[in-house]
Amino acid sequence: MRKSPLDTRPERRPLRIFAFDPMIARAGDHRVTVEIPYRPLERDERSFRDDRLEVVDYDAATQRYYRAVDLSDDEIAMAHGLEPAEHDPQFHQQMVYAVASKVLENFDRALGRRLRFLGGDRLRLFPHAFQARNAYFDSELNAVMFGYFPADDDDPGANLPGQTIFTCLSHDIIAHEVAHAALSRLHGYYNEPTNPHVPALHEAFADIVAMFQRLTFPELVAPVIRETRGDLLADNNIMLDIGSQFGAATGKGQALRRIAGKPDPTLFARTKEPHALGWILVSAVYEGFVLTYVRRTRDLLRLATGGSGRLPEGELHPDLVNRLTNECVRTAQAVLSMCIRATDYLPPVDPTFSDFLRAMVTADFELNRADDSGLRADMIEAFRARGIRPEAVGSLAVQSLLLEAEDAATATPDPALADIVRKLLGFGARQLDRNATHRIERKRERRRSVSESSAPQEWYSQQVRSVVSDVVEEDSSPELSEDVEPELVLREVAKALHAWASANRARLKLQPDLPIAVRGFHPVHRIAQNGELLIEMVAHVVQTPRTSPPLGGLTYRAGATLIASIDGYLRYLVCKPFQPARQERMAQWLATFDEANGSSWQTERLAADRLLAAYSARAMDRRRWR
Amino acid sequence: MSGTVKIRMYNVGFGDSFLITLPDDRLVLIDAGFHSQGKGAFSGDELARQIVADVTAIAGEAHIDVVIATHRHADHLFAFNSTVWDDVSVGEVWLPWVEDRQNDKAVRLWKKQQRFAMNLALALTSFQLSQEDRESVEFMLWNAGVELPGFAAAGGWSNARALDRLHEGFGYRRRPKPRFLPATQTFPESFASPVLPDVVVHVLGPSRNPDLIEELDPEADGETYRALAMRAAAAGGAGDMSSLTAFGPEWQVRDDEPGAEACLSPDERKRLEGLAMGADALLAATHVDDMINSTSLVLVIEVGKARLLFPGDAEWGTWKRILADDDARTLLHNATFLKVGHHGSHNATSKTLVEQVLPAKIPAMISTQAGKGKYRNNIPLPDLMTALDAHGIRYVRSDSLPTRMPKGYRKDKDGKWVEVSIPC
Repeated sequence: MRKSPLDTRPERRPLRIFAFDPMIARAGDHRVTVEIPYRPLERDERSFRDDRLEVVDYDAATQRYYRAVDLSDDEIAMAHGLEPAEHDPQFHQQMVYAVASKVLENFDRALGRRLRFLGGDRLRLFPHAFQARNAYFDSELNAVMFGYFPADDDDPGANLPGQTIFTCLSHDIIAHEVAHAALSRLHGYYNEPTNPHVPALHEAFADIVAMFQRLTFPELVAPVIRETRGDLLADNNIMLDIGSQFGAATGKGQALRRIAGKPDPTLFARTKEPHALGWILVSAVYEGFVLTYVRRTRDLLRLATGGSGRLPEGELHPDLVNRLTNECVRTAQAVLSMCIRATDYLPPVDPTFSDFLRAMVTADFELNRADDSGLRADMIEAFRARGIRPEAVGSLAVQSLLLEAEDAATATPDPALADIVRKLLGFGARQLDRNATHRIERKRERRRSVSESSAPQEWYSQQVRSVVSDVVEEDSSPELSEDVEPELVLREVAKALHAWASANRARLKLQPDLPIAVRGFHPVHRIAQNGELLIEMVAHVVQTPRTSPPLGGLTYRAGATLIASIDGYLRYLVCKPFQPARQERMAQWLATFDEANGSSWQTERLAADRLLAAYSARAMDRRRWR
Repeated sequence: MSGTVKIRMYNVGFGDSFLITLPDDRLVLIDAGFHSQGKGAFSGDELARQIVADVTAIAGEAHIDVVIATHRHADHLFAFNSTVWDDVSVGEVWLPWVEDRQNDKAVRLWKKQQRFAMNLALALTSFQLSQEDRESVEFMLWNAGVELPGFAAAGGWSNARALDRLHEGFGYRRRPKPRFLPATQTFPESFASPVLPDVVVHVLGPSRNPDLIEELDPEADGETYRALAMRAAAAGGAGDMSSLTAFGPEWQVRDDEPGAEACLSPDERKRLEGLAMGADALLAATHVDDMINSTSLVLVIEVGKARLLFPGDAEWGTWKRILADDDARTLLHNATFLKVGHHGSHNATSKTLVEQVLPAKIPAMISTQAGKGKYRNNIPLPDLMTALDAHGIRYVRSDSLPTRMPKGYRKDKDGKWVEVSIPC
């Protein structure tokens, strides 16, 4: 007799995917099986879904649904899913589901809570949404949409001319887009390009998630280690290409991007284009990763070489390859978690790379004071080498990079805050419990309200608007309706937190006479390196002025991120108060943008939303996947 | 060399045609275009006849030393369709490098561009456009050489035929093949031609940089590119989209299978379909227009101490590069004449150029025709006119010649042309 029905419930669901774009995959075996957390699936002919993801294979260009795969079917499940194949739309569905689940798992693991889309909504995945060379997250539909397109007739690279290329078959593109979706959930205001770092951060973050997730697949890392003899910066390291099929398909005949590169400390200050800026951040993080990996494997190399550390010519010993692979995977997982965790320590509005560096350092410090692996120090060094300097700190020592806590002298535990934190943590713990049944929270009948579709020019800014508008803005009734948030506990926490934040506006360095919006609040349960449990609450509050000068569609906002402990202390307070300098910087950025676009004459009719539109998810990713 | 160089601007309405007479009576023709429905002084063969008559009067024979076509827009080359040119001899023909038919990249680009414009034309009926917008789109497509019903010119005139003449036409050519400019990656490129002794030509555009090709690629906006192709296919009789699906009917859910309502709401489907198939016809047409303008030659023709700036219809992308380069800026700094780019539109002449780079008080010419429609509403741009005035730049507009000509200018008694003399 089994003790519990849970005994037979599988822990993991293995599914096969293409780990590299199918074009490269043809050259060797780059199919891997990923194991994602097992969730029961609901299915009908047009879609399948678990508690957080829904795959809808609706092709809007031809107005057709493709039949949903049944991953619970015995024959399919026993074979670890369908065989990877380009011509099988059901495999495409399986692949987007598997990769997206893996990304969400990495978020859960790093954040110390289950990432939950607003109101328990499912993130939808449309593997064949439209016919074009693009893939993007549409916040209006809370969906990631993947395009497909024929390879260039005249210059198809290694693809066949006219061959259909599917963006949903690229691990990197799926991971990149789901990361955008997750970051948009955590920090909706980052979809407003309030300074050039903001869109750059979005892009870089998505690239980091895609790249480091791939580095956690040992089946992929091992051949690379064998081929590059352990040198992760080698030219023939195919891990360094992101979405390589796409560069070739557009006729450039080369991979989209190569990661490695000599850092140029002046480049950062000179660069304004967000993709290029984001690139600098990705390369900094990658170099930090390599530095740590090299240090961690030095002893292995000495052991393997009788103390010289110098590898002989020829193939590496398979045991050594395995051990190096393990170190690489372990380090990659640590970097990935560190970067995802940093998002909790970022201000809710107008972030910069400096904010990101400090958030990363603080998040890591909280969990891992000693920095035994040296990862934190390596990251700081890699950022420094690229000229990314933290603002407003005296030195590059960890102590000065840490975010500020409140003045210790005045800090006292706040019982009201403690209450809120306790309540929220109870909810979070239940969500995390591995034995808890995750009932499918969201009724399918409940519809997202989608704005009435308007002119195509407005879609871009709508993508931003929809993600920044769903907040509790009104001063008088900060009630979330049941329709927006079905969980009673969360509605209560929202209300209490709003009341608390409104009463503590001065403490949060916000305007006393402006209403406050609670943007998000998250329970955190993290296990530190030494086994200790770190539990706290992360909350974001934002203020928006009643009137704002026209800034190309931008809004000048202030906000604060607060990290509160269970006994009611504010552990950290990350503030972006209203500062004339910041508003000035936004106006400057708009002027630079206009100048770069040659819009200098007064009488020109400039679109009011031009900055928003230029950096919308759709427009950014179009440039990205070209 | 001393004396004067004369620049004659033909009043072609919305278009360009300039005849330069050098001190030794050698002749340079820059563009010969007009708008088929414009209000200029010429139509059909008239412009070609007028130019040939003027040339013959000046040079004593129907011979032009250099014929330049700045870019392949109808309003700059339409008159080259005329058979009148068959009896004219030329020294050299100059074209932007993208017109080099041996250049694979350029050929590929035009092919794509043509496909894009054609799809837009075919899909036009599927857009809800105001009359004004429709006219703008149609004008831009016509200008780009796309044959539209109702716009087809008499006698089979087309941009393609005009280009053919520039590539291999005319009665006699001293240099059989056109010169494609710039010839090298050097920026700015300077050269002298044997048919124009004592003249140095500086080429400031278009760029030879491969990035330019990328910028010009209509597929940069992949969604619009594909959406137009699909709309064109639908308009062309593909009817329902089943032939365009990625996977066959065996994979598809039939419409009569239950559960569709539970999946996506009508609003959601509408947005999805909008994102997939939506395109902005006016924007797409503007892109076709901008792209061709961006291939425009930008020349500084140096004759003695005269430096004549002929920027064709070059737009901001070209100017940005020019203004960022010290050598190029120096050339502009010493300009003694300006042909105002693109009929005085907003992005062909930047504020910086007028206020900080060009010298004050030089003569300038604007070949333009104020008109209606989104495309031409702001042409010529009032701000630009004000800035030119404020800077003391003495300009004349082809569409409103003053009764008393400013110093240095004279005009034809019928208003068919206006001419300025520049000391050199």
